[in-house]
Amino acid sequence: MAALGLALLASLAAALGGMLPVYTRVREIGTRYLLGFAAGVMVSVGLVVMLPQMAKQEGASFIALAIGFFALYATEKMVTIHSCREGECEVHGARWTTLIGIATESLLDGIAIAHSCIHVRQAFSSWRLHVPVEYDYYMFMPAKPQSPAAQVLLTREVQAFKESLEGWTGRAITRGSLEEAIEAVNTGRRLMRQVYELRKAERPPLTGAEAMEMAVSGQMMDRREHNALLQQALVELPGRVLPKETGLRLMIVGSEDDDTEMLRLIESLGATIVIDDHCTGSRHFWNLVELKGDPLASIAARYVQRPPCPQKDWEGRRRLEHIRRLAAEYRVQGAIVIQQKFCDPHELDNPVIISLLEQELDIPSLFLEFDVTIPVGQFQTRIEAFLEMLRLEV
Amino acid sequence: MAAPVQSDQAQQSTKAIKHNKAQQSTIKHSRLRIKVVRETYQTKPLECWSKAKELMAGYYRSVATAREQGKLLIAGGSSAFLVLPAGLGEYVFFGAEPYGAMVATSSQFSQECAEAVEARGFARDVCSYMLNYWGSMFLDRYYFGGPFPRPDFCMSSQFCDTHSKWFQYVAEHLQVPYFSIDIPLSPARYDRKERFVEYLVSQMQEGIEWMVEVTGREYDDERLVESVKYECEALCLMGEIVNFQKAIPAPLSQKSIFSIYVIPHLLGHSLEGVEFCREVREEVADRVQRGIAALATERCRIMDDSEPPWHFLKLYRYLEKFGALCIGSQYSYSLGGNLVKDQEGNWVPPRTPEERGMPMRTREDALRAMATFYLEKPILASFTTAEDKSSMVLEMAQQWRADGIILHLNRGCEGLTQGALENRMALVESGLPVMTYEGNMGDKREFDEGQTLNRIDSFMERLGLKKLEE
Repeated sequence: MAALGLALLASLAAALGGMLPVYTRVREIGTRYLLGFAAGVMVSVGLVVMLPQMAKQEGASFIALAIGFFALYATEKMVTIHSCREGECEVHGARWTTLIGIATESLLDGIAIAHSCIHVRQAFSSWRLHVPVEYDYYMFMPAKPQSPAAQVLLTREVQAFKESLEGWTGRAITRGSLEEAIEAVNTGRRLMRQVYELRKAERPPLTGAEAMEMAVSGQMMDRREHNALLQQALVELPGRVLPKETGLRLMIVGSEDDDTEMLRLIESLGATIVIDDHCTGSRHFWNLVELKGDPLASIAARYVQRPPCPQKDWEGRRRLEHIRRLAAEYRVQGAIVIQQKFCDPHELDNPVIISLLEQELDIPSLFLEFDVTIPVGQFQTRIEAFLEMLRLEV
Repeated sequence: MAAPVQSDQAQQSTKAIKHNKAQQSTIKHSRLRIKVVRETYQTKPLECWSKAKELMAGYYRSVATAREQGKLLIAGGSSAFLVLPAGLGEYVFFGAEPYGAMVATSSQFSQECAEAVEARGFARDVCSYMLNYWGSMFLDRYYFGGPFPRPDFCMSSQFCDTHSKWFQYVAEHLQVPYFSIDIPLSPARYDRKERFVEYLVSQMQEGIEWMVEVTGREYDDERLVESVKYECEALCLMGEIVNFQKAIPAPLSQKSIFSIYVIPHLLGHSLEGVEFCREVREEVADRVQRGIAALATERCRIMDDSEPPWHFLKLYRYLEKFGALCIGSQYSYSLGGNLVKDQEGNWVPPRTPEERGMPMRTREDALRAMATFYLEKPILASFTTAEDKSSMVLEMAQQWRADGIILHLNRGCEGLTQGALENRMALVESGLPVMTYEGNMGDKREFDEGQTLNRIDSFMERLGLKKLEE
């Protein structure tokens, strides 16, 4: 009976302990005190109560003690994703057992690529070779959307992709379902345009990093779920006031970039990024599929007409006109041009873009070269110097 | 479409190879075995060598003087469509990549060129052929003397991501009109040939209309048909020439192939280009027939990959000190010529349009033939997927009886380096010894000679080879 009472007491204590962080005042107590206290209790129970108790038992097994100790140790070191202590590391790395688990349990049924730059092709190849999935598809996307032949070919390519998907899934993709999907994706694009419209305000209600998170998550999440979140955000955003001054209005231009930390760094130095033109930003949602007749031809038309990436921006330069318009509409005061190493099309566009910004539009720019690792300290110094110079000019 | 069948000439060359193989049965090639050479092969310099030098010198002179002579000068990437301006009359096509390679052979000028480009804000890691070409343009110094030649217009193609941007900028800088054609790429496992041919034909038609508009000239379809016939024949002949490399001993070294392939590459659309290829084909067939080797001490056959470091071609001579001959590469075999797979899976020279029964009377016929040939170019696999290139390199290594592969991790060419480490893994898994070295085809600043030679020493040791002098 006493044992039952003690067990009940222990469970109540656990429940009460779990509730502690709910109360603001308790939550404000530093983590180190709570952790220290909990560790002290556990060590005390283990050494003062449990170990002597075990030693008194006839045939006490220190092997069992060792197994118990190392079982928890091994779990902590090899399995848990939070391999460093909470609050003590910025990156929660995965240990090898976790990686094996992730690698062997593929979350994807299939992968597909539309022919774009060399680097994406290499990534697709390596994925196929090393993480085989049930289905994969390589669709050709013309690199010359300025040719009238591009839309003809792309329509046929989209048709072939649709047939391939139908063959794999055993389900027909009907005109009705296509139109429904186009509408869902178009809705997402319209909503993102509305979000971006808010960034034109004197005091934008969201930061560039937040906008980047919204744009990038839209490229990964279920479209309808993302749309629902965007709708919710659009209710909140008009009344939102950022707890920081807008500062200088910046634009980022360049290749793929989902580095929200870098954007946070820039925005912590007295600036707000109000618009972008890069591969994983606005280009993804900027124009709609205008449904005219054949839905597949309409999809192809959208991709041919969208703001181009440099790999597809020739012979004429459509991209410059797009950047010129964005800079004017969003009242950009400075631009940060980012470049990923070894991306020739961007590397060849950047000096031309910098020249457009600085000489024609009178918008100073800062050029940053990104690699797998980024010299954060050095970048911070350069950004600070750039913003300081910009403030003087503005 | 039926699988390609070897032409009569190709069948003859195959017979010659077999015959020669029988003659040389006393000399064994076996990986990791041969350490001492007792027999040497008969060898002699290539007779076509002086003709090749003469043609190239004449070509680069003609680039400088084309406009004075009333010919059109057209600048662009030289991998495709050099034939298209043929209908406009006399012209010289200033091919960009071979020029970039020529500049690379002069380390000092190449460095000046790179610095001139970088001074304008362009990155150091872009295509190094382009660095050399653009630098020469910015400095207004033609490598062969005089100012940089200003073309009447630019015409290029897009198969790597750099080419169309390259000439977009050249056209803007020199203020000349510009047109480029997108070459579609696809992994071999998809059948897209028909729609790709249509896509290319449409763009070529568009290009012809554009050229007529910007030059104000009439377009003669008969000249186009004639040039396409030459170009296709040159591609087939070059395919035959590299097919002879299957023979042991190999009749040509990789270095010789580099000197030869540039001619069909730049002049294949002309009679003089085709006549040169015919001569080379005869000479190489004869060398195989008579067992004349490129390297008297050939005892190990190496294939390499990607463009070489043009500033360090002595790499090939260094290999030869060990009795190792570089017999070619997927790159060199497929840039100047074409190779196609036959029904048995062998890489063989293709048949000409006439041999395939393709009509060659109208502009449409000629463009379809051209599109078909361009889409068959094995080099396109390098720009598409690692898997296709890996299997191609492996099959070629087996069919050309290579004992090892050297992969150039070429920082100067993203296109040919993409997938290189996947290629390496696939080759290693097949059991072929593989060596890699990092370098740059056109920029000596990114090449470590000492380290490369050390790696070659280790690789030769692994192959069981010692320097012959020792």
